[in-house]
Amino acid sequence: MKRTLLALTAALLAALVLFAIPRAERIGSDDRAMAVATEMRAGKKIGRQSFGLTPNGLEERLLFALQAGAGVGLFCYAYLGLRRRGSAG
Amino acid sequence: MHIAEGFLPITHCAFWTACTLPSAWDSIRQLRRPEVRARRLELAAAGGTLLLLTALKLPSVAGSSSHPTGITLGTVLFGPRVMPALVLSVLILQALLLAHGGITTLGANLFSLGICGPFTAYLAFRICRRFGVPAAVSTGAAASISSVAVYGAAALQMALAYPDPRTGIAGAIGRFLAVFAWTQIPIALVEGAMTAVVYRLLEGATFTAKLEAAR
Repeated sequence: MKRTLLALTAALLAALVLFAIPRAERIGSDDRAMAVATEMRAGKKIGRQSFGLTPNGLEERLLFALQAGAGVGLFCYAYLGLRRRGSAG
Repeated sequence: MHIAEGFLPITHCAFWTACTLPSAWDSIRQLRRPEVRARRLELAAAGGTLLLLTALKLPSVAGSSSHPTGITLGTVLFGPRVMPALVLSVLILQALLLAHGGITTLGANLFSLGICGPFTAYLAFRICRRFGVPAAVSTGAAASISSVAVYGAAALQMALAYPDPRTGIAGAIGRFLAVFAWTQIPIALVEGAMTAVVYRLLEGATFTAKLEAAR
């Protein structure tokens, strides 16, 4: 079980990397603060007119789902390990 | 939230990076301590929670998003000095692969999420415990308070970079906080409950009365 979870976590991270790299320029996050900052920065030069946002796009959802899956996998691995150690102790 | 790539002037990026470097270095050293390395499973649990919660971007109005911070469990288990390194690794992953945050804004994001948040959480947790509040409830309260604190710090950072033309930095802080409050206060409450549940899960898993006692 422990090995399966580790393998699952590794697979999710690998999928994240493989899926993300070709799309890194197209996807992005968006917070409302960014929208406010965009209003406020009028007339100010910023470092970079960054990325074309596709908020809530399919790729973005998938990527974040992969990250969340990796988090769940890592947590389950730790949880099971702790439970086993607790039982042994 | 993470401040996106390109949204801070380069001088601000340099300033926040310089502010966070000592903590990041100290945190990496903390991770190498034998007593921390001996608790790798708890560290993995803290990392997993951080990965999971920062990925839970919840939609809000205008097609935007907000998310929990996930820093409190690690802070309660290991103390705030360990957290910057964990947060830094997640921020780098998100900046490089998910365009969530950015490399130039890494210092600013690390300051709010990896330093301000954990120290606030630790303080809140300690105060709650001093008043005899149960550990799981204290953890939940710390998670809620630190979640708001992270967004407060981010609002300050944004306001320093983009002061309101009429009301200045103070006005901009108010405006950013008002923007965040809509989504972040409910999220902070949910995060508090989730973190308390996760803490209880770990407590049950290790069959110890108090995880904090092991620290």
